[in-house]
Amino acid sequence: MSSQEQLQDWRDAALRIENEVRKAVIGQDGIVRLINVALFARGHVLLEGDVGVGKTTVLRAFARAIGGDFERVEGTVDLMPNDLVYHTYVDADGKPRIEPGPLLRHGERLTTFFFNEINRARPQVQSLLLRAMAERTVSAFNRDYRFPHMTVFADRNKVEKEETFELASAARDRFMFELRMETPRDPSVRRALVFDTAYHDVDALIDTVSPGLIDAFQLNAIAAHIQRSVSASEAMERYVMDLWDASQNPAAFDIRIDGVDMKRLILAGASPRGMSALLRAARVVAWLDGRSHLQPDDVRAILPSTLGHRVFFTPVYEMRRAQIADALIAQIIDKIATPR
Amino acid sequence: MKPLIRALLCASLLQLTPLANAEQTAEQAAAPAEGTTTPTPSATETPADSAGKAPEADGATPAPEATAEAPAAPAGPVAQVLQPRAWGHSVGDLLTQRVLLAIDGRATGLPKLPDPGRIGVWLERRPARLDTDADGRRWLVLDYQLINAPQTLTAITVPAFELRTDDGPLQVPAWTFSAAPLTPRTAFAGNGLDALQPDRGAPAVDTAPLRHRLLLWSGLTGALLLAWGGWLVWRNVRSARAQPFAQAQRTLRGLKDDAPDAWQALHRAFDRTAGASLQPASLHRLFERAPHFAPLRADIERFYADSAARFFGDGGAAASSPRALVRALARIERRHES
Repeated sequence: MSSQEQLQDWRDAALRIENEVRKAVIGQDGIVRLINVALFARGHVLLEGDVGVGKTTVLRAFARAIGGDFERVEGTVDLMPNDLVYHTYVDADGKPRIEPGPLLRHGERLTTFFFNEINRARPQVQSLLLRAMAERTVSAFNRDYRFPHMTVFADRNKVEKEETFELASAARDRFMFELRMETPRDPSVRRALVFDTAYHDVDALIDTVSPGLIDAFQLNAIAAHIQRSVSASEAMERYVMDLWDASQNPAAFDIRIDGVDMKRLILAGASPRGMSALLRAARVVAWLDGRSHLQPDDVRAILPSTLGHRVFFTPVYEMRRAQIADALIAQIIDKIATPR
Repeated sequence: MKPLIRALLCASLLQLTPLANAEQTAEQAAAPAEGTTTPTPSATETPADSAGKAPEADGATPAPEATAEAPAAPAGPVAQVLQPRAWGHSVGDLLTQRVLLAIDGRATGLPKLPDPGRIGVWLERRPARLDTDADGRRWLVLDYQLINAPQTLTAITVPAFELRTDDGPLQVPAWTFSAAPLTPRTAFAGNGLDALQPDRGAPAVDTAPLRHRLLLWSGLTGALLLAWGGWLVWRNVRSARAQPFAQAQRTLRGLKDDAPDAWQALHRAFDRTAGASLQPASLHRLFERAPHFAPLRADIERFYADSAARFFGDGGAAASSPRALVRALARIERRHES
């Protein structure tokens, strides 16, 4: 099988995953597409949204469609790093026993790790997870455990702020996407979510998704293949470099936001890791679109989810982050001209 | 010619009339009209020189003496008449007679008022009216207007007539008054003083300063209007030249269709028109903001597809011509702006 055919087959599979997930989750096509992109770009995703909009459902649907093992942990204030690694108990014979915790339990078969309410977990837990995300390894029992196929999905409840530990900027930078999942606005979707009984039983809903559509353990290889197969032209490189510069010094690109002193807004622009994540994701978008080259629209499609949480504002403006970040990204998209 | 002859005839007749009338008066005096029930058809007149006696009676006092001089001996009782002033009249004057409606001191009624109308060449009788004075006496008020201009001082007689009252006929005697021309016919003979002098020219006021000021202000106004018009034209031309596609058209003038600069200049013009950097996925914003470009939608989309292939893809043969497209776009832009 030639590599082109292989890529085509995988693309069909990727689109099939999307279609299957859409059976279980309606009105969230944008989110489904971006999670799929992250999956094939081998990036982790931070989901943010109201309570009960279907964050868990969409992740369970993905986990079922891609196959492999799924693990879920609830973030709480008293959760300690060790709770993720091992589990101690006294067995029926009265002997103390130590067993691998949720992170290690599945070994290399772990493909989807869902950390619910990550901002409720202590920073120690967060840093363990960050290492697991960045290196896909954890040290335990005097050896390293590897989870090469793991994709971490974390969810942050934006309603409450009490007893929460806000993620450090370095932690947020490790997520490829920060997705804001909102309640669907389309009236027909809203009506279906409330009155269609099919959407009331989540387990039954997840069962409608065809399981194991791809071999999840080949994802890393195919992701690398995708990255190699999609090229970026010189004009495209210039465009991405402009975007990067604009994230660091928006005033130089005539970017203005009402009520914001642009010269004092940015503390730190996008990091090199952020930009590489941007390009990785953009290549997957191009590949899903059936192209072997990048276009500005590929980058624009993922820019709000990739760059929004990677630009750090001065403390004066940090409190208004959500509002300013959206406006900044929209302005960057509008003001950076290409081709040039 | 004919009007001139007619005018001359009229003039000679007018000159002759006083004499003719004098004869008529004499005739009337010789032959008293007995039992006349209708007023004499024409008033009599006597030129000043022939009618030596002017009536002495004042308008304010009854003048039975004046009536006694009437040429005709009236049959029946004679009315008491209050006459107006008998001299100093000229064309247009109104003379009012008041006739007391009483026979032998007894009041009487008048079933029919005398008819209005022309009395001879000189007078016109206005519609008569009745009037009651403070003593309860009833008067017939007759207004005569002098409607002809006498050439010389002329005595004019209002003819006698008879009123048919409820108690029998009542005689109103004839009455004579003098009328004078407004101007003499010929004031001075010769010496260049013709009767009708030409209009005297008004003294000429020096209008040179006025003219100068008028010229100055008209000049200034004209200059101002010209400057304003020029500014309008200049502004329109400048804004037309500053329009995105007009500018792009100038940039593209020196470039070939396959020059990257040409494509980029056209991209910038699209971006400026839409107010944002456009890519195929955001092209709808162009047509939302500038719907007048919608007819070229297919061409614009092809340009973006070709541009994407050229700058971001594998090149490929570009079918679009930026120069042709910018011409069409600039034309639409110009039409829309004007």
